[in-house]
Amino acid sequence: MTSAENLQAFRRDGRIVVVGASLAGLRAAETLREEGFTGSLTMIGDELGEPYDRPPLSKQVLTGWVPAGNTKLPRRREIDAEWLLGVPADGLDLAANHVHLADGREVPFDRVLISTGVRARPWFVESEAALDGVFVVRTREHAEGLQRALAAGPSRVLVIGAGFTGSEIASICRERDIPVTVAELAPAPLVGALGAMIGEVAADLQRAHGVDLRCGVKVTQLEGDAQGRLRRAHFEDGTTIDADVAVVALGGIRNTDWLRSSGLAAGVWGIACDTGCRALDLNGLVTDDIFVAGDVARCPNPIYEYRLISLEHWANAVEQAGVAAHNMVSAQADRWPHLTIPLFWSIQFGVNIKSVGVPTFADEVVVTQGSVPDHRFVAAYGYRGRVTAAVSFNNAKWLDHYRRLIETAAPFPPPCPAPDQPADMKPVPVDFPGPVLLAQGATVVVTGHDPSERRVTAVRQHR
Amino acid sequence: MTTTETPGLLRRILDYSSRADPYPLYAELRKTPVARQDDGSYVISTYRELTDILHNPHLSSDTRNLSQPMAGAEGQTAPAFINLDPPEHDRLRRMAMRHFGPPHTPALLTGMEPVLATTVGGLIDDLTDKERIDLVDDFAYPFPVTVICHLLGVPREDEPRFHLWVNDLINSIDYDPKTDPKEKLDKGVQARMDLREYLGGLLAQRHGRPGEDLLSRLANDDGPDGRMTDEEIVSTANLLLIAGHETTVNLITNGMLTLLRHPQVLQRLRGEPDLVVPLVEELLRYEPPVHIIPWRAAYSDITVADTEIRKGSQIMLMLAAGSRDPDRFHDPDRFDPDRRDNQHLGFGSGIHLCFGGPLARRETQIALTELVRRLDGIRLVDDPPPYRRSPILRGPVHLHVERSAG
Amino acid sequence: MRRSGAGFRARSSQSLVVVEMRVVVDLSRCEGYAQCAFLAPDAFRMHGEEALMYDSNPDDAQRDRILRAAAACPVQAILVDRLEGRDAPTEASPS
Repeated sequence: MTSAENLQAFRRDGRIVVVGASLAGLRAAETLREEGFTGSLTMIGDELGEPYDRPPLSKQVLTGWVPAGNTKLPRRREIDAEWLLGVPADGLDLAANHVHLADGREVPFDRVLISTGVRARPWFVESEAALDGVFVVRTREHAEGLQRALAAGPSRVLVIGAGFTGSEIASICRERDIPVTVAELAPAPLVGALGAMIGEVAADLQRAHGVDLRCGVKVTQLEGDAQGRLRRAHFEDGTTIDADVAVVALGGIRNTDWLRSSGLAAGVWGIACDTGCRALDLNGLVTDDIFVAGDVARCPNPIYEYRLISLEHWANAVEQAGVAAHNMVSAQADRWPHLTIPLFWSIQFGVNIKSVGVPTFADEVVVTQGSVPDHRFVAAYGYRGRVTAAVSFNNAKWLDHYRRLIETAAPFPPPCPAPDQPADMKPVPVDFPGPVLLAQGATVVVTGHDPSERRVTAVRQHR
Repeated sequence: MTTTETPGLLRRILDYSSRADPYPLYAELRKTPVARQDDGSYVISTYRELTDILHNPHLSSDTRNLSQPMAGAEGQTAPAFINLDPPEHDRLRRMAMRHFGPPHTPALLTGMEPVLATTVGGLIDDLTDKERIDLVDDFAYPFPVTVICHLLGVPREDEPRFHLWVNDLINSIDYDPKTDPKEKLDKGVQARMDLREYLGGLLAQRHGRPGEDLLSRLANDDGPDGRMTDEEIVSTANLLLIAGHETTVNLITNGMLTLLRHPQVLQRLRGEPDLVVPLVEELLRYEPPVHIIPWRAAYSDITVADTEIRKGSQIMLMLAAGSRDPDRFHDPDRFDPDRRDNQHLGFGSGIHLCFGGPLARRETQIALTELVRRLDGIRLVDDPPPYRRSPILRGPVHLHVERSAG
Repeated sequence: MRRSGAGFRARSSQSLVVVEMRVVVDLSRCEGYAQCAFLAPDAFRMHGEEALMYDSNPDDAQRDRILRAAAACPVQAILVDRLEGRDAPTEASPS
């Protein structure tokens, strides 16, 4: 058979398995059907119930407005899939083309899409994490539990970690008039994602809304009472704070553990893939039948010097899923690269924060429009003289212009003034606390001498 | 530099003889997405270039940024937010929005729906036994005027007075120094002053008397941005009064004209009232009430589609041409109420997106549904109907229909 | 069915009819025009001047308003599920 005939046969009655039945998995499945795939489609997910939307979990669900069970995602179309839910996948056999499930079953496939996403990073002491009143927020069960705890009127909520999720939760607490302390290791909120200048603005915003914001501090211990209820948190400097709710918002862990012995280039940094969403194996070779999309994918972006970047962004999950699904049922010549400019948003303290591009890929930042004290402005990020990102606070209608600047590698700082000129238009160093872009690195062991025998034999996470 | 466009094309578009069907000329215009005119101004007519520039912070809405001053600008004491840039635009629009919509007054529009329905019902009651109807004078004009008067707190019985001023004002907007007598411009300047004086008089009575209408609210409100000056309130009320009916009348009239030209769609709407929602969106794309944004200015040098536009240049945005761009909309000259992905430019885009758009939508949805439901067997008397002068706010001056016997 | 070891109640489109509204807004597209919050204020709420929060699974009684809101979005960021039957695994679980 020619490869065209093979493709036709595969599109007609091949077997596609999607591991990870959340946003990216669902949208990929819809695209597969849209593109005319008529074979069998199996959706594997570790959570029970239909795919649901996560961003509302730290916002309208926590205000008590929308019940946690009511964020089920709308469908773009029927997908006619078999759903295997409630049991996680725990292995991928690339020789036999099987997904192993935790309950021992095997699901065969011709092609597989991995969209297993991330989970919340738990508190590092298991017994303390188990205390009544200690939460993470990733699933609807988490959000439901936290919402109930907030509705009970806690005397104080401690939010550990002032990234986007932590800041959003602190915002909801203030909206519900609950005293809240935010503890952040960095010098300001959002610093890791948006840099020091925006971090200062975010800090102002929190304090203006009555958040007890403590930066440069480390929570070392969560202390419970005899009934196993959280009572107190200890800081590294020996001080303590009484709180009956603590939210651990320390980011996510990519769900790649189940791929440990799969032979894919998978680790804490995600699963490496090409822009066509095909997974790389340990050696960095592109695979043919394994595709990746969403938070777990680590994809090169030509705009950012071809660096491998993984994004925990809603829009990225949707778009990458579309590209991956298209490529799964297309001939090589018809495949698309995933080349979109990243977009992100957060809602906190009545402000719509949006970003375009990759703010961590920058050495300088400048406010280009609006007023920082009023929390209405746009800031452009630059790297070696070109625009690489922009962030807006309640100024989203201008952001598309900055997307164009990024796409066209426009000079930084943007040379021409706009009507709404900020007081100070001097670029300042972006001042990130560390090289966030590359996240955690990988350490590999290479063996063999001849080109024909050189292989990566193991990948370790350093530290 | 893109200067390949046919000489005189814009002039032909603006000429009254092309008012009934400017679309073939728009198609020609789109061949040059950014077309430099002899007078140094630029005309933008393609969808992507229009959406790009509408989000470009270097595009100014303040005509004081034009290097050549605009004709008839005298008498414009305090520009309304439509002619301002941030931060002033944002502040004034936000202060006006406090009394019109979210986040401060989110339920105003849904709360007005009974008033809209009653007004429409009453106007149609007066039509049902007429054999010949002018859908403009008998319906599409009085309906939005009644609504905007109610909303602003302008006495409905003053309508004959401000109608004349508004007419003169609108006429002066498409003033052409080469062909128009100067009195047309003078009339516009006078009308602007008269209208301001009239609104100022109404405002004077509102101070210290809190009420539900917009003038009273603006006169007595102390929101987070403080209170508007009287001059700002008059400019805002002036804008809303004009825009609040000059555009909706066109949208409703264009809607009925389009439906009468597409009898199968009209028939469908009768049996399927939900269709009106996508249908009005398609109308905003296919026969929008505002065709052109005539006076935007380059605040600094702007590059659009490889064309550099120098600081101070006048930029004309051909929104209606953009909404018919085949590079964005499949089969753009077809009226298709089932069209998906209908991201039209009917209300513009960016920070100046039509302030009253949601009201205009609901007015038109209710108007078309009820007209079609209650007036059966109507047919157009003239096709095309006679049009108003303006190429900017484009629509029929009258739309005569007759009821067939029985 | 090729897959062995069934034990899940897989649902097909024929076996389940759900009539409820599902909404998702692509907030990375959203520019805060608030048109939806005008037209369906019980389901779409502005949080400050520009940020939108919404009810993802609103009551079907709001259907008309929500469809109007979705149609009016200037950036077409609102997806409403109008499927009346879907192959939804509402009760899928290991047996």
